[in-house]
Amino acid sequence: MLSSTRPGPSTGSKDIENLNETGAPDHTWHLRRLNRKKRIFVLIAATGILIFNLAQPVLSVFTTILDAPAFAGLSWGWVYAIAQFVVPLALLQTYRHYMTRWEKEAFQAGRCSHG
Amino acid sequence: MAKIETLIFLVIIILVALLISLRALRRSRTSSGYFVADGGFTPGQNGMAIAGDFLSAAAFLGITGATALHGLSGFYLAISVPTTFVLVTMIIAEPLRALGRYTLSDVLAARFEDRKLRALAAINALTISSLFMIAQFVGAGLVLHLLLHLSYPVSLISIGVLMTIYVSTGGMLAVTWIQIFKTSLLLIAGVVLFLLTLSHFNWNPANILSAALTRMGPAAILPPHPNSLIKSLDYISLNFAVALGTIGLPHVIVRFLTVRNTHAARASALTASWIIALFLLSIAVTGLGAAALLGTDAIHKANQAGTLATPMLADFVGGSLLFAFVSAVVFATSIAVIAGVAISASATFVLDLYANILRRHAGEHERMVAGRLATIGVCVVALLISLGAAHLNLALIGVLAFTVAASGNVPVLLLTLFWRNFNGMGALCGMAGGFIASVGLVLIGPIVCGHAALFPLANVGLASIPIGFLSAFAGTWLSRRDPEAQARFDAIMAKISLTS
Repeated sequence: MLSSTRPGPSTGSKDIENLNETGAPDHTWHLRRLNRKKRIFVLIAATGILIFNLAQPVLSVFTTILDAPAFAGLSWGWVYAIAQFVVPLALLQTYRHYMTRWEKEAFQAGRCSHG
Repeated sequence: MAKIETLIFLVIIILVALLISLRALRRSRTSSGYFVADGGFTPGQNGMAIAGDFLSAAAFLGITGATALHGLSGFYLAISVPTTFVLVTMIIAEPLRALGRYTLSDVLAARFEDRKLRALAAINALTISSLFMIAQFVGAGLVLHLLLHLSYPVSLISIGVLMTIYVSTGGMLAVTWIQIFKTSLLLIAGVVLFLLTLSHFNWNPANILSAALTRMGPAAILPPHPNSLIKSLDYISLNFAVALGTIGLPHVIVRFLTVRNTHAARASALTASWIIALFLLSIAVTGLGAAALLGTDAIHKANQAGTLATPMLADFVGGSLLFAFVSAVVFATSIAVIAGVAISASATFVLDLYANILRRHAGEHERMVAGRLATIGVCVVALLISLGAAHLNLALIGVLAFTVAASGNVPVLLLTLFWRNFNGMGALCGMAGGFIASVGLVLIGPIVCGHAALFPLANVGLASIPIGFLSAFAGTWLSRRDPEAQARFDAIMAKISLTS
């Protein structure tokens, strides 16, 4: 991913924006781009998990969908309640994975810009 | 029951905590050392401490008891907790570490230089901490009264005195190590209870569920179905406040300032999330196990809220030794959680009110003396209020603390970190609007006014949180654009990126 977006030596207008006044690739451009990626991920993930969480009490009090038996003696209500733990933990691990990757990219971009 | 064993465990816990405080005394001679332990904790240690802050006696005893009495409906108290930690990890852990020094006001001050805002943030934080401390104090006093048969005032005073000594001696360093010690004990108690309960059902959780179904009926697996629209909205409102409230709790916010960098802040939030989620999941099993082994009638007879389900289960599956250990763990939990809130409240008082507004030229020594005196003052005031508050509904006080945090702090914190055009007036209006709405709606609601209530919901978050956000938006749109706040926003974003 980094190689496809790293500022290169071409003189295309977008690339010129990514060079600093000394002609070296601009590290802050990478930081801004990674920061934007992170903010979009956080916005989607946080909104999604909040809706997922609030959907359970809403479904519970206004419908009987979660009353139905699911499997192994559990109702869909219990399955959803357990998912309220599994899904956030999986999301946190995904977040950790992406953050580690983005920070590596930022670090490498920083090294490139400093020669 | 098991008086000698309980006494031995209690003495060990009190001595270990005292030892921790005395060792921490040497490193708590500066503001930074006393209030945030010089940011010297590892992510693992801080994660344990955050988990300890969240896993109070109310969570350990209350959720188990509610699950034992009401099945799935009781366990619903826990379902928003993992979500709140996703929000904490992704939204506030890193920015707080990058911007803050001691309190929430430091984060706001990074964008807005407004002493009125700082004072309001401090009042807001002190209100939340006071509500939280009173709920914890009263809960701990009642539980110790039930478990150890001490009178309510003696239980309360013993917790208050010990906790004040620990906090004022060792500051955040002692509070964190006591919290880590307590979390370890709590996890041991939880795992032992979980395994011993499973051993009674041939190590098969499905057997627990079917036994609970036999003893409790369909309630074991059915979600809640309130019988009116108002009660339904109340239920959703409660979940909404718990899901968002943690982000704005002052004693949780300060935890992210006790580690070295943003990476460690994120890692500690992740560690805490795993510990809390796994612990709460194990509570689902022990709660249903308690219902299956003891029967709901016996649990209800011992205490109407089911608070004694956990110690009763410990006595049943592990005998007097496990009962004594669980009782001692409840004692340690109470002290550790209240200590965490107390240090954050004293930091708010000294650094945001005293050193920034009342005595702006206070030196390091004066701040330290004020810090220790504030700790004692905060504890004494909370203790005195709690002595007369035994009859109050604890769950509602706790939820009110979450609601004030979610309505007053969260909108302002989120917009400070994510909206470039947000300005000082917006922050002031958001904080005041959310705070007044949450407290005001409770005052005109059914908790205070009963049948004469002007507002129908007991849990007011569904109305007060949107009011907090709307006030912040309105304050920003109706006032002048602030280029300096925008420039600071850009600088903050750059700082957060660079420190990552």
